[in-house]
Amino acid sequence: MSGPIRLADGGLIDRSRAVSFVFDGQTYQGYGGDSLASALLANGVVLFGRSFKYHRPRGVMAAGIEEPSALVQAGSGGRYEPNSRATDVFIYDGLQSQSQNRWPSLGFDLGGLNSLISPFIPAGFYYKTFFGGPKLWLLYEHLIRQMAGLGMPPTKADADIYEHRAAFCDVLVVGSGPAGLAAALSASAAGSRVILAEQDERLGGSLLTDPATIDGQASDLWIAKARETLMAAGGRILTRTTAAGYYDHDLVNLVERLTEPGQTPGADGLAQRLWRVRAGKVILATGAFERPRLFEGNDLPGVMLSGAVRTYLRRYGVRAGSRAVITTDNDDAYRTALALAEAGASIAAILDSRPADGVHSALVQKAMAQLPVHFGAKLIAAKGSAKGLKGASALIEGKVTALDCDLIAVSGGFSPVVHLHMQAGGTLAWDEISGSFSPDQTRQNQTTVGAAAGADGLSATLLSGWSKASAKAKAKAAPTCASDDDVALNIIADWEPAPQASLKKAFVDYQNDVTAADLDLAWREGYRSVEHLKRYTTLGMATDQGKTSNLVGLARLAKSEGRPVPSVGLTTFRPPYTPVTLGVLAAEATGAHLDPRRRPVLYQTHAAEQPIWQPVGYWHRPRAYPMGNENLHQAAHRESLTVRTKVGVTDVSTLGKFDLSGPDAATFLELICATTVGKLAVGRGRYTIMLREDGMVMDDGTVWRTEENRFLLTSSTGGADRMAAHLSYVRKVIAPHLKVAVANVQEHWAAVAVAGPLAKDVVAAVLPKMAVPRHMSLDVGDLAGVPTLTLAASYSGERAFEIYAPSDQIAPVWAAIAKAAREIGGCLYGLEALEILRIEKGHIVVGGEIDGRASPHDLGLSKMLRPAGGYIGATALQRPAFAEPGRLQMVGFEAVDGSAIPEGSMVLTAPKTLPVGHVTAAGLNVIKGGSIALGFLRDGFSRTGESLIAWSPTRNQTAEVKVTAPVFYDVAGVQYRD
Amino acid sequence: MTNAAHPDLVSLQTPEPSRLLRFEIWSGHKAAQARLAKALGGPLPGICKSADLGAARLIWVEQNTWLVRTSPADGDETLATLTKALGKDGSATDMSGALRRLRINGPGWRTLLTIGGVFDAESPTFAPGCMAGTIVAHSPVRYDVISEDCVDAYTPPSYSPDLFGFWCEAAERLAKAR
Repeated sequence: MSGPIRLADGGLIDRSRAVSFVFDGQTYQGYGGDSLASALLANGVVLFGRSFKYHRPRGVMAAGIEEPSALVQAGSGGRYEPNSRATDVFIYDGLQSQSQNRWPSLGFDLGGLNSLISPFIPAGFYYKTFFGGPKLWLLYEHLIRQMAGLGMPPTKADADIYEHRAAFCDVLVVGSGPAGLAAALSASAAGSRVILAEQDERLGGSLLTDPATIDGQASDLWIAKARETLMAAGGRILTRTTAAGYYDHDLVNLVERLTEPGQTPGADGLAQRLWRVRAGKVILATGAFERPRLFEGNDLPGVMLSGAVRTYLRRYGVRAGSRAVITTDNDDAYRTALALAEAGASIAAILDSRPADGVHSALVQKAMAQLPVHFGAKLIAAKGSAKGLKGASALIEGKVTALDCDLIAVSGGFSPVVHLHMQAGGTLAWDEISGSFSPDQTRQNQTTVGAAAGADGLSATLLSGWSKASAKAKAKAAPTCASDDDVALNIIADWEPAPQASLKKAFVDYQNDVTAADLDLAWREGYRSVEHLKRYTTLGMATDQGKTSNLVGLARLAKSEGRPVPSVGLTTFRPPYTPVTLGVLAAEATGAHLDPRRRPVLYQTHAAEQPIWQPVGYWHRPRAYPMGNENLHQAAHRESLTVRTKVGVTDVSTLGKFDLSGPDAATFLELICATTVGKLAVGRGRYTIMLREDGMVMDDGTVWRTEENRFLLTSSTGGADRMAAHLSYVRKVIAPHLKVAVANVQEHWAAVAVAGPLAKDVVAAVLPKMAVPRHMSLDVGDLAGVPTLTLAASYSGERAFEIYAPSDQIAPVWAAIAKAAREIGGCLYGLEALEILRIEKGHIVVGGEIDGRASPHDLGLSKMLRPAGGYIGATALQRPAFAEPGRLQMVGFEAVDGSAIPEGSMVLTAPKTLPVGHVTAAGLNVIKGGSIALGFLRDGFSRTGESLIAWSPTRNQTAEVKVTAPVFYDVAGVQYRD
Repeated sequence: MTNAAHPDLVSLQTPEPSRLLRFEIWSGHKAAQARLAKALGGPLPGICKSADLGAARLIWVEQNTWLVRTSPADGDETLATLTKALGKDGSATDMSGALRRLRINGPGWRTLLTIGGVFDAESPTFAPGCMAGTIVAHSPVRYDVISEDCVDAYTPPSYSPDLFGFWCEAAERLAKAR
């Protein structure tokens, strides 16, 4: 019988637990512990998918995450996942899986016609073929995308829950093969907090394929004992967990898969978890990937990596073929040959490219005694179809020889898995004999052990893990293995295919259909840089990231260049090396938790008024309170008109507020504020601006002297956090000597603003015992038992007050004020009206005019600056550049014909000229009507009266505007004074 | 408010409001701390530490700055005590409304705090009497470990509903995963 079969016994699968699953509509049976690949092979399935470009039939090549070809889609609806490796999906009852990139079926795929025209569509053919304008390219792209590609993207929202977890440890060990386990045990024995991450569902790594005797016991027992030891010491063992990325400061992201692709999660609904691990030290025990070899038809179903063949046999009890050819450049493949022979397969030939005159290891000698071993031999071509292999031809002793086989086990040496080491900023060292890069210098506190570090043989692997994990580890205490199990690889890398092999069907990158001929062609066309070669040919791209292909490709390029492999360079090792679902990156940050919604203390009170909400950073504040069928514009206009003519009430609780106390509070404030504030009398306040050290305005607000040695500083809502950080910095770094305490009381105090010609009446009504303070004065009062602080300050340009109360007592204050205002024709107003009113008054706002690029001079605030200086930013303001012509200066704009001025528009002198300024905020002139705006204009202070164009290409709007002073209402400032 | 569905693992509460008083020492540190220790009934907790002093809970906040949590009834008296003890070497500020306290009970609190967080809440050194400031799901929060089965979390009130909801959902998942 040819093809793969399940053996009657053996393997690590649970034969007592039958598992039913579906592939391409057909139901199959497997066992607990089977991967999808092993279960399909066990059922005699050899065709798993179609290749990316040529739609060539592909089987399974590997047994782990390095599988480039056997990609499937699993699940359905919100649990559909494309591009899953059949080798990395463990079957479960009800698994629905499908092959991908084929039509109408896997067995009969019309896309396979591409293979017939492959000579005409080599690497980069589309660059040479699809000429024309951009619109034509869109058509080409559509067609190419229809023909090529991998799985279909999901169309439904993800049905599952994902979670981020923080974890810290002294030692993080990535990989639980013999080196990883030895490292974890060593670190744990030294008293370290250990996290061990293993991407497989079982610990053991290569020991699952090649059982051994370690410390005098069978490796499965040694693994179990290691697990127990680590757990007992408080270690965390994460299986089905992949280290997806290594970042600065030894931050490693681990993706833990709690479900298999398409599987319904457990009761907690969690599908995957992203662990953000900050480790004191990271041990990388990521092993090595076996490399394929170049021969014609090396991608056909039935051609597999040698180690994978052994894994299917030993771990899953699946013999991948009955008559095998082994092609190798190292000793490891002999283990496969012997294992297959032991399992009843016949070995047609072992084709060893190494010379016959070398010293043969005991393993090789054992094979030579019972199997047909040919040294200096190479495979020329595999012959077969979608149904499997029909034979092969080989170059043996200089002759082309036909071989009868249904399985080809390939071993082109091993490449240490170094991606995490490289993401951590490490460097690599090249070994010419084995043809491999292994970690050299490290930049972070990490070390690589075992096969990933180039360790050869189990004994060296165990010692490497044990000794590098802990400075306290003694080599004598390292785990040891039986000498029979200590098999060295003895690789003599051989990159050259047999001269008789056609390179047009000798694949380097199986996933992206890149052949050796493609690489040669790219080189002939001038692509000498490995980065260029990669992009021209797509070598090492997509979900595979060149796990099995990169080094073969590099060697091919190096040969063309006539240079050694290291000198042609490496591509960049970017995370993630193994695909990560977007869901686990987003995790909880979806839906209601996309970002926190900061609710003002009066949130529920506002909600009862059914306002239109506006996000302001994380805050959600009422934008307007529509009445009846009013839209936003109508509501905001009504509200602003009411403020101008009667009175309005708004919630300003979100303003930044800081309590500064101490004998040096005034001195400290004069550092922070660019205006004179230190001489304020008790009970008085002042508008102020704060500068950054570079002289740019960072925020504005008010300063109030509440007691001789106590001040209240307010700042903008949007800038409150930044102001808190700034105050902390100045307090601790610039002025640690001052006797001042700075407390952030933003949410301790809530505040209600009352503005309008009747505002004074409202305040008098609700605080009858308090004398209504004059503009920029304050007073304390008592409103229904709630202590209040009333500040007379205006943002709207009207007589206005801000009434402060402890936030947990603000509700009755708000209610009383709103009631009193409504009784005399007033209303509530939201941020939209506030914006209209402040634009009309020419008041600046953080994020609008305070954009980090404007100096006080640019904003027309020079006269406010304290002449004596001494404030932060004062020195920088002396820079000549601030006084040079051509600066953007704040001006007003009025629409000439009454049309709306588009917010954010560019300001031009004439159509199709370069912009000379921009609009920061636009609104309506509340009483007079017409459109007005604030903005910046180059040399704007001297351009009053000039006619310009405000143009917004994104809104497709244009307005003719006239430059004005940036104040449209009550220029004399009489409205806010009694 | 509480989600007492899984009290065996972890449950959340929003305790009754308390008074929060912040005080800062800017000079005469030793003497001021001695006066405060005498007035409050015990030494001020050290860096990143907290302690019960009589009916009040003292929490180190940042350099030379502490927070006192006390009952609403004792608030004014405590503020006066602090002000008097500080003298010219510091000042105290009432900021009761600036932070909301959430209490997390149950042995699962350490695990809960790692969800969406960036802080090593599982460290055995983060023991009762320790405090820390960190971020969870974009929300600023300070922890005060009360006991092995209890931690207080202080966050600005504007963040607390979402953070409470976030933790409740996470606590549900933890319970279901058992």
